Amino acid sequence: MIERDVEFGASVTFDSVSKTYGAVKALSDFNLSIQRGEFVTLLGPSGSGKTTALNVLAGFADATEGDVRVNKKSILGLPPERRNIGMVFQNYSLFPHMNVFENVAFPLRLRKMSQAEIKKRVGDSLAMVQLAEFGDRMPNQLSGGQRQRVAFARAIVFEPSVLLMDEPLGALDLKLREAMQLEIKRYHKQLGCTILFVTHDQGEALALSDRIAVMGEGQIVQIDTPDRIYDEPNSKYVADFIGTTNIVDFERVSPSRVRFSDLDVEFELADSNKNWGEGRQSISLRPEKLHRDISPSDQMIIFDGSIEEYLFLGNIIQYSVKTKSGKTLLFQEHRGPSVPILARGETLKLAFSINDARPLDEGTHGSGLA
Amino acid sequence: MNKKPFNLSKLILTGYFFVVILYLVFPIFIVIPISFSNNPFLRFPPSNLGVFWYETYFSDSGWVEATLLSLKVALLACAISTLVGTMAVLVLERKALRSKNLLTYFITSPIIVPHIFISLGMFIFAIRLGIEDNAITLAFAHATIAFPFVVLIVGASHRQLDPTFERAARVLGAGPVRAFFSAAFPSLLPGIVAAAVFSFFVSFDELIIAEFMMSGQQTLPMRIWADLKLEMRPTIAAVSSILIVASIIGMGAAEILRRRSVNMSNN
Repeated sequence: MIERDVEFGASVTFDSVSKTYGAVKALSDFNLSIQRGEFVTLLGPSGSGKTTALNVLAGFADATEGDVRVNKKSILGLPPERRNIGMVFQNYSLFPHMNVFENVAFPLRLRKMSQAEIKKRVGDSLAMVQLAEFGDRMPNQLSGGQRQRVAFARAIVFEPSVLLMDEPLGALDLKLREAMQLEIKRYHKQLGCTILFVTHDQGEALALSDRIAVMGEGQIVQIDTPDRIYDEPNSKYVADFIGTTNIVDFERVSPSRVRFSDLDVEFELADSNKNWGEGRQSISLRPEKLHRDISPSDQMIIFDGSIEEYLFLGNIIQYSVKTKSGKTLLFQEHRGPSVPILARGETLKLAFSINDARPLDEGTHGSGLA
Repeated sequence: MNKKPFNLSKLILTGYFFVVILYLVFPIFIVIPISFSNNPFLRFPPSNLGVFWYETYFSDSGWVEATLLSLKVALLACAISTLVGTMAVLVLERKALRSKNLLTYFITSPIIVPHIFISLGMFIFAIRLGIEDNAITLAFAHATIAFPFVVLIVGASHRQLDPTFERAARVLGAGPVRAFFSAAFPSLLPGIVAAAVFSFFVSFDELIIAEFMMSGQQTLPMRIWADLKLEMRPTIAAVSSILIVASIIGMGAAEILRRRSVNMSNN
């Protein structure tokens, strides 16, 4: 009944997949290649198509066009129960009338495994999520974190070819979510399984993934490793979605001169940097890339501002700084003995390196959602 | 100024509340005491207390036969309406039907259509087929009027279902039928049981259709009606009291079941 020729940890390919619901394009020409054992996150706001992609892979929605392959074999046309895919849901979806053992044993019973095999596998899975002693409990006797671990054990106990996780930590509180992120990392390392993770939480995506695919309007806007997504967002949409950033407009006043109207400064590009920002109109400037200890250098852009407000974030202080042209920027710095906290209304000079400013695509797709 | 202000509206509403409740349970306060009298006539307040009329009820073969017939009809009607109603819910709630609202109105219309018209239609239909005066025919007729209640009650529990449970079962390897029975059915069951109990009593209580359909045999409500017209003896009060107690127990059990399941799935 169930195809078991695929190994635990398979490659997954979305090949020009489109999915339309009536007039709505939930996915349009969606392409994604996931390698064996890779942890890929689909990150985007609701309506960006990430859940649709998951549903097409799991078999809950048919692709209107395109193909989906697991280990190079098309799985379209197979019902969900024959795709051998593990899935963890946000609401855990543990069967309330079955105890923990029976919940985890459920996929194995469907695969007609022997009693001894079932016992061994359920035992191993529950041990991995550190709930070996909880087999007799009913789901409503468990905490949220424990339920999610049982759901995870149930999703991997039959060694699926891919593990899908649909906002699995969304229902947990912050502390637990952080602990579970570490757990999930550990499971992934231990099992070597391919994971496709869906979330709208950029912090979660950055913390967990090998690669992040930022979704917007049914397509991938940018796909890359977490550090590159963070450091080199390719569009306004991605820059805005990942982390906190300042979007600052600029214009070219001459071939080698740009004007940052938001900062009320002009800047002469070095000869080596002539093509900087070609064809773009805005930059992403991370709050931590702004400095007030200004070391003169020809690639620094310096501007005036005044402190509007500040937020105390523990080891970091985040200031809102108003520029001369009235734009408010965020500026973060680490606290330290030599770094006094600035008072409201204080004026200061801030600087950033031209190399820390990322020129952005306006983003034809996704921009409407940002 | 620390004196509590006199709250007239609250007083009026509280009074109103008790008047309505009293109005609703009033018949019970009349019927049950009357049944425990040894007087030969229906009289309130009762004098000469005793269980004479209960003894009469259980020893009269006419009453017992009527009760058994009603039980038989009600059980069958309950089985039919619960099964068909639950299946209707699955279609209404799961298929993206354009005509869903229309279909729902149609399905629940027996609640609005006067029973006398349903009875007449059923009666003419049964005579055409030559199946009048038959317990099974009556059960089918009763099933039609119980059916809307099943659709409403089971439909309400179906809307509480989280579809991800069945999806979870599907990806774990269960086919659609298996997924339904392992992930959805257990959560629907209390609603189904409640609907079954309800439809049992819809049939067990029913008089008008039975009067039309049955000529040779008598159901319990028919027997009560006949007795009331002829002799007005307190057996009726005894029977009614038994019915009231049975209904309370049945409905109570169904409600307890329903609550337990709600607690379980609120995890």
